[in-house]
Amino acid sequence: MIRYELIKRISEQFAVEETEAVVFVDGIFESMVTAFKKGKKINIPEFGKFNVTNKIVDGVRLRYVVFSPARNFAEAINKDFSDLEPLVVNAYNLKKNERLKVSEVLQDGNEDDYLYFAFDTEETVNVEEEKISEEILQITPIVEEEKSSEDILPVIPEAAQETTIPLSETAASPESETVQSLLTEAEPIIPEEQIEEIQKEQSIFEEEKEENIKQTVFAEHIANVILLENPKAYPLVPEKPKDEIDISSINPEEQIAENEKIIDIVEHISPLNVRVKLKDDMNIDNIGEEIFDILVKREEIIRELNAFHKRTTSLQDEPKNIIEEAPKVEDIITPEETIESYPKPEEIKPEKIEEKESDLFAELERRIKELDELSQKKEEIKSVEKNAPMSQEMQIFGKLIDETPVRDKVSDMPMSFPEIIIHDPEPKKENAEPKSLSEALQNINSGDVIEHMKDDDDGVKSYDDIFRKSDKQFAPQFSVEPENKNTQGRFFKIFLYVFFIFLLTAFSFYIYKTMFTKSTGSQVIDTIGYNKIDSVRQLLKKTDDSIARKDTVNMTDETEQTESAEIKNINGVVYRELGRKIYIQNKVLDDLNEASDLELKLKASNLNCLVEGGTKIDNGLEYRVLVGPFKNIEEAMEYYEKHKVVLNFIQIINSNKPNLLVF
Amino acid sequence: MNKVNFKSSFNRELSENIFNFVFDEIKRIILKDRKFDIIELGEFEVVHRKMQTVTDVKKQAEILLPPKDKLFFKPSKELINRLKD
Repeated sequence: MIRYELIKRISEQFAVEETEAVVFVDGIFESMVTAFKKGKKINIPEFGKFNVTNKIVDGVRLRYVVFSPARNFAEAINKDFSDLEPLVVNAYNLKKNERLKVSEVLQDGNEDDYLYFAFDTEETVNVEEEKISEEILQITPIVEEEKSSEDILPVIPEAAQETTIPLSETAASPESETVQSLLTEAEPIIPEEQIEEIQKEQSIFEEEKEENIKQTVFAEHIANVILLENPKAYPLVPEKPKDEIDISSINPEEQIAENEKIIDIVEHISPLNVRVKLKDDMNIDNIGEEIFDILVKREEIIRELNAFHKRTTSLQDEPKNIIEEAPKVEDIITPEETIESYPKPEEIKPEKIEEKESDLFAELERRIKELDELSQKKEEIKSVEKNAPMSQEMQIFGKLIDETPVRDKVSDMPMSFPEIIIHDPEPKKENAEPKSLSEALQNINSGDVIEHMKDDDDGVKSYDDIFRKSDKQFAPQFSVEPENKNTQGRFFKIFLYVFFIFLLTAFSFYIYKTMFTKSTGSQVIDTIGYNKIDSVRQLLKKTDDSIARKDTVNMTDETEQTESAEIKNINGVVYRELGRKIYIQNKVLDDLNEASDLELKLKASNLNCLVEGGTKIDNGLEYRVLVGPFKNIEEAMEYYEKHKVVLNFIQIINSNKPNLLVF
Repeated sequence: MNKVNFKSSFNRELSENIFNFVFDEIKRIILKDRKFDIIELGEFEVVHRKMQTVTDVKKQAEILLPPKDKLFFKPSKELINRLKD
């Protein structure tokens, strides 16, 4: 179709000018192309979908437009073959009882080069199943479960099976012998064990079949009872015509006449539509039995119905009517017929009962006699035991037994008596065990150990008198040897322990002193090794005293501390007040040797002086060389004025450092 | 539809009717002639597929497919070139 024709049809259909139609159609396609450029999908209802995808054409990746028609449109195109459906021809990996059905699926927006299928395993494909079953049968013989026991005989090979068909026809032929030999020689494919199992299953199956037949009979009876009450509610069971009765096999006329009689009786007796299939060997007696059975079953059914209707409340009235209106056995059958039809039970004759009673009495008498004999024997044994000579010990035991209080026989009676076992008397042995205590005592040769009581002795003796002690006592004697105590070793050990403890305490004290106490000047000097110098010792004593004094002052009164540590700087000269005495501070040195040298020089120039130890701000030691003492500061100032030159000279010579004030 | 309606002088109802008519005509022509060609878009063609057997590897089954008429669309060179830009 040319585009022009489309435009012309539009203009004719809608009475529009062709130019406007051209613009409209161009506008439609132009808008579609712009949408494809943007990658958008276009869905035109009842026509199809346009989708933009990427496709490789000649090694170049391109944007490609794919069209998938709408379902109705596609079906309209494929209307010639729409009834046909894909079929599974062969399935190689199909499981047992699995069925396949294939249907082609339309995939929107996908490429058209591919086919898509959906497998449905629920629905059936009969052709496929039959093919597979045939294949399986060809490969392996299968024994069906529902076959009868006759069909489960061992499978015969094909060659033998072919020959079995003419076997019945040509039974007398000479070939039949060869066929039979083949059949006998043919080994059964199924082993005998499996055959036995199959036969068992078949027997169970037959039992189930019988039960099912019984249930069907039961259901028929129920249906008959219901039909009796409401014949309109349910369609009547069609009466079996007389032609259906199996009388074909009964050829004689007499039997036919009997059967007719039976049918008349049945129709007369049972108004129910009970279908009775007469057997070949059926007589009047037999039919009576069967009718009685049926009626008995009918009564049972009525009882069950009664019980059922009692449970249900909605159908209370109807079942009662059914039961009331149901004919009873007595109405249908006269008692004479039942008596005639059924043989009476055998009556027990009185002679037999008498014989039985006489036998029982004879047995009882025999038992009683046996009991009497046993009791007589027991009494004899007791009398023999009483007359037998008893030893002294046995007499004592007998007295003790007689003196024991008699208990209530009823309370002491055990509930269940143990079984009495009588052993055969064994022959006596020479070295047999003694039966009584006297025999045991006689056998003991214990003349050295036990001394029997003498008849001459009067009164009762003590235990020690009767059983004297033997000379040899076998009691164990324990003798413990005195230990050789090693006292020296013990003392040595104690000494070692004490020494070790002393060392530990000394070491701990040393650690305490060195680590946790403040070091004084003397201790430092001791560690240095300058304690040999006497002057230094004196100085150290003084310094220690001064420090101790300071400490005491610090502890007692703060005001005194301020007084003792009072320092005055007058015209560059430091005056220290120690112990209410004033000293002129000549110099402060860090080294003790220098301080002692300066002290010696001052003393050499007839100046009283001393070295005072002190602490710096940074906890370091310093040594102050002081000249004095003086009573008051004025006296000290006068002394300084007099010996000013000497003091300064000595100070300048010995000092590298200026005279510093240290607090 | 709005774009097309904007370009043309038709009202909306008329333009909708014309739009549906255009595609109905295309459908009718495809069903009748089994082929339709527009330069702006491309070519619609009905292709007959013969009866064939297909094997499904997953199920290991051979499937007999019936013959089928199917519509194929082949975009025109003009459309492909315009999509390239």
